[in-house]
Amino acid sequence: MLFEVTLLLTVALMAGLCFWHSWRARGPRQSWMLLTCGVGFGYIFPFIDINLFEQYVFHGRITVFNFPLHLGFAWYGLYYMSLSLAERVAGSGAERWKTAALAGCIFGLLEAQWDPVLLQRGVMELFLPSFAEWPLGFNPGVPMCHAMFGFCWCYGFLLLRAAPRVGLATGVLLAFLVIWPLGIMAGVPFMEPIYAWPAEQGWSLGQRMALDSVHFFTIFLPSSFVAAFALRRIARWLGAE
Amino acid sequence: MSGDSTLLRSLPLLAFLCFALFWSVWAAASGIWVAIMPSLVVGSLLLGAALRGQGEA
Repeated sequence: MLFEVTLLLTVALMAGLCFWHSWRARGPRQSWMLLTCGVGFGYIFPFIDINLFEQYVFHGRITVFNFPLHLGFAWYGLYYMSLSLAERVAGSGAERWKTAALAGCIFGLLEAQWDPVLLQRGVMELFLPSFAEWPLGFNPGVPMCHAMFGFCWCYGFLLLRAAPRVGLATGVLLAFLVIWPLGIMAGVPFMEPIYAWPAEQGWSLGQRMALDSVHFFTIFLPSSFVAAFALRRIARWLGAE
Repeated sequence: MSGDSTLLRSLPLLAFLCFALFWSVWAAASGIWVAIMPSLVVGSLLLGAALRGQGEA
C-alpha cells in the first residue's frame, strides 16, 4: 500500500509539473492537446489491451472500476517529460523527427525502469510471449514498443500542433495513437508458436535473448517509419502543414 | 522575469528528478539495482546537454 500511495503522489506531482510547464511554455491550445492525448491514451489503450488481448493485468488497490487511478497521468507525465527533455537535449533547431526519435528513446528507457519495479512489487503482471523467458515476463520488446509509442506521440504532436481545427486534430491523433499499437498487439498471439520454436530446438538463453532483440527491432523500427509516414499524411489532411 | 524563466525551464527537470528518485528508491528497495540504469543514462544525456549549453524547453 505504501508503494501505491507514494506512486500516486509522485505521478500526480510529475504530471502537475509537466502541465504547468506545458501551459506556460506552449500555451493552452497545445497543452490541452498534449494532456488529452497523454491521459486519454493512458486509460484507453491499457483498458482495451487488458480486456481484449489480456497481455497484462494490474493488482493495485487504488483503483476506479478495477483500473489503477495513476495510469493516465503516469502516461501523460512520462510522455511530456520525454518530449521536453528531448527538446532540451536536441536543441531548439532540431528537425521534428529527430526530436521525436530522441523522445521515443528516452521514453523507452524510463519505461524500462518503471515496468520492472511494478513487476517486482507484484502490482502488474505481463503475459507477453517472447523467444527468451526473462524474469517476470519482461523482455526487450517492452522498452522497444514503448519507444515506438513515445515516438508516435511526440511526432504526432509536433506535426499536428499547428492544425487549424485543434479539437479535430486532437481526436484524430488520439485515435491514431490507440489504434496503431493495438494493431501490433493484436498480432502477438499469432506469433506464439514461432516464439516457442527456439526453446524446442534447445537454443541457449543468450541466443534466444539475441533473437528476441533482433525480432523486436525488425517489428518496431519499421512500424515507426510507417507510423511517421501515416502521421505526415494525417497532418496534411488536417491542414497542419 | 529572469527568475520566472529559470523556474519555467527547470520544471521538466524537476519532473524527471521526481521520477528518478521515486523509481530508483523502489528499485533499490526491491533488490533490482540494475533498474536504476535508465535514470542514470537519461540523467547523463541531460548533463551532457547542459554542459554543451543547449536547451530551449
